[in-house]
Amino acid sequence: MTRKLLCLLLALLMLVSITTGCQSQVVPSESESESSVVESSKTEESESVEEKPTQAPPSGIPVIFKEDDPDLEWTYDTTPVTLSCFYNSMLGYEWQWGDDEVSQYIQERTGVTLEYEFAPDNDGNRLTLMLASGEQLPDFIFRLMGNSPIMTEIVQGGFALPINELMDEYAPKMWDMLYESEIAQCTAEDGNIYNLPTQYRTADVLLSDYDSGQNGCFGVRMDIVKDLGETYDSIKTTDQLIDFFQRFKEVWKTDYPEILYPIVLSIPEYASGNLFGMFGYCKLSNGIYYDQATDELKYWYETPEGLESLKFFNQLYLDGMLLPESFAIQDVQVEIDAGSVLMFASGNSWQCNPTLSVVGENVDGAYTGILGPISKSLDHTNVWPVSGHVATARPNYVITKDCTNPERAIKFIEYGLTEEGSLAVTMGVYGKHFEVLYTEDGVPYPAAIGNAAELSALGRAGELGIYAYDRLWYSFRSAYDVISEQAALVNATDEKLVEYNKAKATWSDVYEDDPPAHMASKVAVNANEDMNVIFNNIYTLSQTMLAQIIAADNEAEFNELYNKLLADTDNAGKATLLEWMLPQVKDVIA
Amino acid sequence: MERVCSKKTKNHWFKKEYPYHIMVWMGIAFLAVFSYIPMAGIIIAFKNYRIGTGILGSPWNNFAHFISIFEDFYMLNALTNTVGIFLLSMLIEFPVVIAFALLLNEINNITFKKIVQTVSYLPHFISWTIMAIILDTLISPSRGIINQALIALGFTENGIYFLGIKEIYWWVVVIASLWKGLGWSSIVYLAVITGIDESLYEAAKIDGAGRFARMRYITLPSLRSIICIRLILSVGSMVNTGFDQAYFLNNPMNYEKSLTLSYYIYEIGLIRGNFGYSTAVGLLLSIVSALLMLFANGLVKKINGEALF
Amino acid sequence: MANTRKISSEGRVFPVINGIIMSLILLTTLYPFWYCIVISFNDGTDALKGGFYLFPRIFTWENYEFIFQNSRLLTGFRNSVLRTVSGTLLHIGFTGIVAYGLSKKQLHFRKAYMFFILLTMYFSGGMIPQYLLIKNLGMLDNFLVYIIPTMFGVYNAILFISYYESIPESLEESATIDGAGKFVIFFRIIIPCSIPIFATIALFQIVSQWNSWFDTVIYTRSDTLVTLQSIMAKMVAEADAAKEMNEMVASGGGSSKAFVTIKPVTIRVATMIVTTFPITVAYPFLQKYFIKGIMLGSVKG
Repeated sequence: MTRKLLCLLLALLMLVSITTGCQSQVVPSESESESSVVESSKTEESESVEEKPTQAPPSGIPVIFKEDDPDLEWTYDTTPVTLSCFYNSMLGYEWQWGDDEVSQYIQERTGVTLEYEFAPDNDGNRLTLMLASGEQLPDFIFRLMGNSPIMTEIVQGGFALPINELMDEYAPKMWDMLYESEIAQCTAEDGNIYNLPTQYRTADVLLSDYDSGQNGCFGVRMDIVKDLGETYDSIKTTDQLIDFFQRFKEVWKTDYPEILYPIVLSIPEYASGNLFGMFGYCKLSNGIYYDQATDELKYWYETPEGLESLKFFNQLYLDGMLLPESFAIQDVQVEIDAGSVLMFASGNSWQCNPTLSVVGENVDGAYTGILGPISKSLDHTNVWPVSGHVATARPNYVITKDCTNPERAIKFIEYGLTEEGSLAVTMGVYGKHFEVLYTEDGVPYPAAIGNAAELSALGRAGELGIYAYDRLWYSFRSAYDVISEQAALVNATDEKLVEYNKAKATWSDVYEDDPPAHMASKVAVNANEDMNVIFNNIYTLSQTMLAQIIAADNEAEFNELYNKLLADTDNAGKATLLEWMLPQVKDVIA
Repeated sequence: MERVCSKKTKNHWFKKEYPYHIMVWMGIAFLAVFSYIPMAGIIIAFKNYRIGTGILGSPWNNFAHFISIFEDFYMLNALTNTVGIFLLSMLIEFPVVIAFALLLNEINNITFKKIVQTVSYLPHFISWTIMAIILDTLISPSRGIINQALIALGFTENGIYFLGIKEIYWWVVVIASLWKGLGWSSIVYLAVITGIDESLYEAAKIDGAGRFARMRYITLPSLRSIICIRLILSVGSMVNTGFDQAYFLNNPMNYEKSLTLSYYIYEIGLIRGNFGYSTAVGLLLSIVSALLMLFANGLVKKINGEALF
Repeated sequence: MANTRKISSEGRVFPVINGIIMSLILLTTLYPFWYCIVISFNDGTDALKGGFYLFPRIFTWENYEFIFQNSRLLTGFRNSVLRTVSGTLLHIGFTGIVAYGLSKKQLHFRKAYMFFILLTMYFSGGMIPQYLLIKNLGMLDNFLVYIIPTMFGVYNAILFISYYESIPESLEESATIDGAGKFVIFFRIIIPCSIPIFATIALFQIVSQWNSWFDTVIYTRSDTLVTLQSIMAKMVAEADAAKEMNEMVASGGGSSKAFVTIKPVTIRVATMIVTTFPITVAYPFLQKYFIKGIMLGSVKG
């Protein structure tokens, strides 16, 4: 009874924090009660860790986040049981449960042997036929993309068991482990939860992505930049960039003949608005944003700034720096690795994050990110990025109606959400592959032991053979992402640290205070088949038209194509789409 | 072909013909099971099909899907491209393939003939993913040999991006398809040519007919019916063509010209994931294909006197 | 059969021009295939850079090593050969005979029959009804699914019919007078006269059976039923999946060098070479049926 009350209290407090958190999710918590309850909107400062935790749960790993939950006890039925699972994708290499130490460890701790059947192709046919032909379904189905048609079929067709009921009956603690946004987004119309995502990340994680430049950036060959007398924080405006290219052009053929593409522009990223973010605008998902001042939803290219950025790239094209075939490069990374690109514009900074830059064999210098923004203009603090999908865009899993042992199935999932389970699939076996250390501020983080310490998180996963898990079943809770970052920082060399911090400081330059809270959040809009069609048509239109607009040979053609883009998207149903979206967006923002 | 309607002769034809009927009925029975039974699934096109409720249980929505098709944004575009590419390829491929078969037939040296024949059909086995790569080695602006030659000769500075010029895309596709399919398409014609009675040629030679005369009066007429049939069948399958090329050769610059019906339907399938809709599109296209085939059949009948059926 | 035609009376120019044209065609159609062989022996990362080259830039065996270390290769090969041989024979026999019946112009109900058959070429229920049918016939996960559903082909039947129509009726008439039944005529006379078309259709079917992989993926689950092509297709798809995974991994900040050293491009090409190779070997055997010179001596008189 008390436990139920506690849960209710928890839920209420969460609710309160959501509504207040609406406006400022990064603001450190003001009250004690909030900090102990909400997992999703805290930075490490708010965690009240004054002393190192001493109590260890049955797993033997020091408690990291549940230290203030006195009721944490964990009994686990370890009777051997075999559960079957269908993984709705190809893995890419041969792997089976029990092949590696981690799965053996998990089996020891939970008693579960998981039998995997992997999809024989990448088109999802096997699953469709399995469902349509009335065959006996396996216990789990993993890797169902949350907003995909097959997911809808499964939920509507009654092929999945309601996870909420299973949680209530066998694993009530799981409610605490899930993010409330996860729960909210995965609740179906009838109030049940039929699917849950894996690899979910919360708003403050998105914020840190934002910080490190996931809004898009320019990656550039540093050696050439230096040769031309620049540094990566010296180019700040579009005019300066054009000037830089002019100077490059003079020495291009003579000094750098290996450069095939002076600049590569990722059109899909551009079409979706991601790239546009590097011009100083907030991360735009799928190219639509909400202007609070005018109470309108717009596509980014309808704005004056959008037009400005198009003109900028057109200028590069006319100067011969942006070649039309660069819109069709199959594998940009290959070109980057080969050093045949001077500068690339990407929606994602990982390609040029200084701590992770890939150095081609023939290239003396690495690719590094140019500090954005390139052009700063409009006040855009009142815009909200709008997204078509959030948590439900991630791979989801279901427990099927033919599940042979629902109790063990849900306990298995629950295990994965515990500290032990989550760490097992990212770090390996505690004590053998990793240990827990503490930063100066008393924040715990897992540290790899032995030669695994040399590798990155995923390299390590590869070594241990547990890479598969990262994609297979478990949610990562936000604190683990923070922990990973901490670990990286602790392990980084001084040099790399300087670069990293510089890159990280990028977007803070833009704003006086820390990045406005609302810019980190994404608004989730419900899936709807008809709207989806319109959305995709406009997206395709954007891609094709933008490429042609940028490659316009003169101003007349540019204007003609630009107007055509606006007209065509109108014809494709843009007004209908935005009209349908607007109330939902305002709902969430309010 | 007149039937004499007397009882005696009625029995008579069946007695004569029955083995043929047995032969045909073997095929009919096979198709009844393997084609007509699954065909019943076409009713999905008129339903709001969900896997959970199944083929029979799902609710009817009559022509809702078909209406959606006509309202579909890119449909007209896809149709234009498909028809355009088809007509162009008919214009170019048919004559070239036939000419190739004829020329091949004229080779005297058996070894050379064998070699050419064998090598010519090899590209057929190369899938379009690889074909796209090979095409790239030729026409890529930065690395393709055609452009390297053009740059060396001074015609262009940075190379021409052929696949980026949407106006010539259809030509690129047709020529690439021809290159790939030349040898394979000619096989059937060669088979027919082989079956032509050698003595006809001997007789013609004695009569003083030259090489081209022989081709015109003996070889081509023998090929006539197979050419007609190939034509009719090609027209009938027009709507299904062009998937691979569209998939691998399309890019944002040429999309408006490279989108074909088959590729577009595939995209729709991915986006909508609605089986009812895909089936409806498939049904509509099937009807169109069948009608086209009938039309071509009638046309050929008028010109040729006889046709497929 | 040796060609005994003399050249002298025909003019010398044409053969030369023809020779040149054919040589050009030979070279241009050889080039794609040669390029594929070259890529398959080339290092994967280097191959991604593209470009025109006539010999491997970085020679390596690793693509083929990767393929041949697949444990199920032998089973796949065996199954592929089995299905190709049995499937082709079944097909040309069945379709050939049905088409013969259909080829008789005076046949009553011919139009109806043709209509019935042609319709199946255009209308189909789709993947799900097909699957349900195969399931209900008990052919799921069964070798028969490779050869029974392919027994009859409408397109091939049409080709057969067209060819049969070119066979002079006098042949059959004389045999009928001699007292032979229709089936006997078919086996004793028609087939020998139709070697070219049988060889052609056989070739088409061999290629079709050999290259089939979708039916393996959809209808079978057991390892014992894999075919060469399905193994190859799986390898390529896995390389693609791994590549996609690496890209996702990298987008999360991870190193993408941990896995998959074999690039999809070179694997794809190498698998294509491996599977095409038997066909290129088989064709010369069938080729003799396409060379002009078969004397249809039995036709005359």
